[in-house]
Amino acid sequence: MTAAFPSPAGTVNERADSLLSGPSFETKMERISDHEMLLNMGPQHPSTHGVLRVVLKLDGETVTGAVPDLGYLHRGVEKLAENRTFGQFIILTDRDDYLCAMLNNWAYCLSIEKLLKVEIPQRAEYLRVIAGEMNRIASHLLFIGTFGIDIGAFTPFLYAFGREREMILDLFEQLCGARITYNYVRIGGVSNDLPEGWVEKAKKFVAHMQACLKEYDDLLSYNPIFMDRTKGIGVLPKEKAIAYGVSGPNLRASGVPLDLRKDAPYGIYSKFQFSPAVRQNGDCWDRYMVRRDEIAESCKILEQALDGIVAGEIMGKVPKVNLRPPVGEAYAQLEGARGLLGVYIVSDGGLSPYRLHLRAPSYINLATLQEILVGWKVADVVAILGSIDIVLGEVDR
Amino acid sequence: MDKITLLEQVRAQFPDVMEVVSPDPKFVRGNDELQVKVPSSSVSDIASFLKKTLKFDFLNFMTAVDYVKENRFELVYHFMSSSEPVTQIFVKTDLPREGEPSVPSIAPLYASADWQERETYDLFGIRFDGHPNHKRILLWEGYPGWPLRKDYVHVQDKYDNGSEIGLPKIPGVK
Repeated sequence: MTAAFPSPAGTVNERADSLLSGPSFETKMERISDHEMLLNMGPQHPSTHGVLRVVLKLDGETVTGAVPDLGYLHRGVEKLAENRTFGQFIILTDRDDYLCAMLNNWAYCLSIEKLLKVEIPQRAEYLRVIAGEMNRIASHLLFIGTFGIDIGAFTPFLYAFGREREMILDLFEQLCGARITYNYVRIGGVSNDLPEGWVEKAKKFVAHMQACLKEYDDLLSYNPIFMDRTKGIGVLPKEKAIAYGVSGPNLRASGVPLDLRKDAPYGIYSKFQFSPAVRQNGDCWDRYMVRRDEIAESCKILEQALDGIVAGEIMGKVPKVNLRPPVGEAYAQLEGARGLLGVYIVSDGGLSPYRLHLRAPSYINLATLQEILVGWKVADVVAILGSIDIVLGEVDR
Repeated sequence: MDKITLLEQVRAQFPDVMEVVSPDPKFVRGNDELQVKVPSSSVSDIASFLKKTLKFDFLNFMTAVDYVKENRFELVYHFMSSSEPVTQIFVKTDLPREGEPSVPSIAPLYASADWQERETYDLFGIRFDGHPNHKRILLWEGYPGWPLRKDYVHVQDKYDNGSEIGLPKIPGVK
């Protein structure tokens, strides 16, 4: 069967040619007129936060077309899953969206638990919420820091990334031994119980985090230069956001209050009092502010969860080895830091998934880029790309 | 909207739509939401009906599954309503594995289908007729084969055996 296919076009130049020719380019770019030029951005570009390439068509300073080129980080995770046992695959979910690995672990385990129809102990549910919300804060902190750098504000990065996020990573290190790739949420529960004194440290952190938001507002959110660079820029209207399947903070910034924690609660989220952060304009500043507000909301959830945590088991009754979920299929999704994070799983009763599909929010959110960049200036491209908050590990999988 | 009303409304318009029921009583469905099986030719008509009449404005995800033993691909679409996220529907369709399997594209209706159909084409080799930009997306044009098909055979390349580019030979790799 393989003989029917031409040999892979190996070199980067050949890839570039294939992107710039053929029907795709004709549709997206039509033809380049004599006063237009092509600008290649990436794959090695600091503001792409990974390896993303965008070919921009410019008319003077104005962007008239944009074609994202992905796949530089494609590792074939969905194929790898078919050769791993169910337990082994959790560590690969860490590597999809490596900025909020807890939620990736959780989404994957949630779908298998749907297949197994297993009961999760209450304490494990609380630990998942605590770890998940902390990781959401860590992810948004990284966004605040790097988005500032994209726009030209270096200082907030040192606070958000270098100070507060570091505190969360230290807490995670004490909790599960890892700082980035946790493998913490397991099928049926979580891997480790809280170490001694952890709850007090976490409560201290939450109080500190809430006080810091004021500092971020002074440094970045209401900084006139920052607002000039982001307010009214890269507007994603509500209808377009829905059509593109955009989810998470990006969708809520466009005025759609869709938050699965509230609208279709999973785990024990129905127990907590919080209100999803929503903004109306859908510009870069709103996308930033939704994430900033979400940190405050996550702190509220954390306070309640740290107070209400119950004693008990941390693992449900799930076999540790030779786990064979029944023949069947399940789809589970949760509110990730970047949007609806879903895992569709098909089991044939064997030791490894028959088929696994990741609904990666970054991948789906990124598709809007080809449309919302058009009409803005070159200087806005980095602001718009940064405000979508993609993780290339998840885009390319 | 509950499951039964939803099925009735869809069937009133498309009588050949069937609710998915498993032949095997041991088969587990993790989701309670309605799942329907439709003929592959009417995918875009049903998507259009779901979007315009039943307000399923949000295509959450779409993908394919290769049931090689049954000699079919199954395409899975998951629609949601952005205003009422608990209302969900799974739409499935079967395609034969032989030749060039193809299905009408729903990218003109749902912009989110644009890249997701390209991904499915890229990894499964299923064509989406009427797609505005039908190209591979994660892999490069000319990549040999469709990796997520169950009968995909890995083609040996220079990375499998380092000796060709002057690296030490990896034990066990021919």
